[in-house]
Amino acid sequence: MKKWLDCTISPGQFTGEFAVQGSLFDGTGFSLFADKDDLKFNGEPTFDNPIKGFIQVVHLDKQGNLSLVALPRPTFENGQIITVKADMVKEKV
Amino acid sequence: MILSNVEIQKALDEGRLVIEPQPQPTKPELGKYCPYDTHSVDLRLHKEITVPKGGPFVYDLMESGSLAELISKHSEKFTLRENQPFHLKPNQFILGRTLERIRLPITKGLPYLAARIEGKSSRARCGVLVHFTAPTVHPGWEGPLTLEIINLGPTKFALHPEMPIAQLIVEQIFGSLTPNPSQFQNQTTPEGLR
Repeated sequence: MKKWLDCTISPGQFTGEFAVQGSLFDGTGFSLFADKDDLKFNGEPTFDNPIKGFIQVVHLDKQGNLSLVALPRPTFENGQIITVKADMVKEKV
Repeated sequence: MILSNVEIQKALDEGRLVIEPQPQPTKPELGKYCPYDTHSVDLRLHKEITVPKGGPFVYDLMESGSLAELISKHSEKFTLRENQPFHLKPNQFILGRTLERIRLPITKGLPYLAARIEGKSSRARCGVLVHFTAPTVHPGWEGPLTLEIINLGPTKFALHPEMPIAQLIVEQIFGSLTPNPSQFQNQTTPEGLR
């Protein structure tokens, strides 16, 4: 099921691509490049003013306050399937 | 198993392989460059490239959280124009993208396809590598392909917009697979997903 994960969005290396940052369940950060189609945000992010937004994920599992989700692309640090806090995953945005 | 040009066409017709815009002409024609070889199809360079900049920092995959932004912040976009090619200097590294978007849908009941992006020998003879890692295009992929371009030759090399830059080799996967769930792109109820 497709859902949306809280993230912070900065400009990417190409038009239509953005740098995305987020947090794992334990507060460790992750980052990846994602296409605009996989993101929802308002405004135009800049390096001086990154924007809070959402990245599309596939929700795989939930146990207690933890959710296992698959990102659209692999992260630099933690692979493509990550564990996050469940309240950071939204049905609709 | 690598697909022949006939099988590539068949996969395109059946929607198992999508290349947008679709390279034309699909068969050799007098006076026209044909992008299809016996078992590959040429892809072109998108006009937008990214030139990484150096600095007093380290890209460290073990540090969490902001590498994508750091890489992006220290890159400069450059737009190629027909009368203004980019001269790739010896030992210079840039990122490019294919003009074409590639899609390898995962469709139940049809053989799964994967692909590999490869360089072209004519570019290699000038010392230019158009990709040097991560050539695999996985089933379920959708988007342009990023090219890691480096000039290992002794002279500058001109990069023009829409020049044939790489070739795509398409392969059929043997056996079943358990796709990464995120690879069920544009499918709301993939089999096996909750």
